[in-house]
Amino acid sequence: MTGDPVVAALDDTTVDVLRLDDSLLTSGELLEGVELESCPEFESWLLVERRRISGEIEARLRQQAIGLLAGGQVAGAIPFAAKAVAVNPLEQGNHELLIRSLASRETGPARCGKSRCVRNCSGTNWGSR
Amino acid sequence: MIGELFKTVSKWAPPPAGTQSPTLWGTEEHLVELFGDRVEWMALAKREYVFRYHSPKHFAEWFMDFYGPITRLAGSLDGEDYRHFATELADVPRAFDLRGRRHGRGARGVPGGGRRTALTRFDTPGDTGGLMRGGVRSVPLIRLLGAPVVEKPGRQPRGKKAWGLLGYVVLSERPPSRRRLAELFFAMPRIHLALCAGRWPSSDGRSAYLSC
Repeated sequence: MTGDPVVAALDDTTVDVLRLDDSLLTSGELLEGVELESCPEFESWLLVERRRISGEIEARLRQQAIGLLAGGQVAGAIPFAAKAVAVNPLEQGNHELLIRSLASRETGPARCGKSRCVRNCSGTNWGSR
Repeated sequence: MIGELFKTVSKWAPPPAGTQSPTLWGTEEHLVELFGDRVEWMALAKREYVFRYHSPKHFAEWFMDFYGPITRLAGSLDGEDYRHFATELADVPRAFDLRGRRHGRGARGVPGGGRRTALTRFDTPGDTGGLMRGGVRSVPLIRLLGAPVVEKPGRQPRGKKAWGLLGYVVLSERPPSRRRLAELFFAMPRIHLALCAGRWPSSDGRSAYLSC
């Protein structure tokens, strides 16, 4: 990092957060474990950035999953849908996408069992029953 | 010496059939066989690591207390077997320290032998973890999502503030001024002045600032 204003010279280096599509499935929270209590302004910035990047990752995960599902690559869609659920478990649409992916892959008794389980869970957790 | 240690342990708990010795990782031939031309060799040098313990008995006790596989094995032995096993473990460093060299205060050292290796991975087609596909050499990667790390042999930024600073600079829409960074991370006049004077650390943040 040099100059004023300070520029990070990253000519020969890749930063995962600048190339989200390459690390969608392996991504975690931005700067996980970095908490600077003595720098409240930085903490506020970090909180906002974490939300922003998490939202962007979630959107891309959903986009990938939907694209793969539409293209008939069901097995490929499941990890993206599952990761979307992990990133934001309170978003009903993510669960629906995962269920749709799983249901598209499975047939017969396994599908019936999982769908029934999902119905039970979703009815309980989402307050529809 | 570690090879002898494993040999001693395997007499009490034989490894599964067909398992290769982990000490093979200390040989250049085995590394080349494993990785071949799929990596770019950056360093392949033999280094010696000295195991330092107060005595052979201390060596045996330490491994039986803290080295998982041996601790488990020792826990499954009792009475005479336990004592016999401890004696055999203690015989391992004895065999390697015939000259009775002493290292440091009251510590006995045994050169273990080993190999320190650095290599760069080449991504192969189908490798989902890589940045580039099709046998193209991957560039060094800074991971800021998850626990931050620089995936490149060498020095890592130390301390949370250094990582925070790197993340802030990388994610800022416009390059931040030194004054802004000083306000954000180091609300200390001396450091602020040092930053404004152009003394900026190359990779590591705080220690360099504090030495300004």
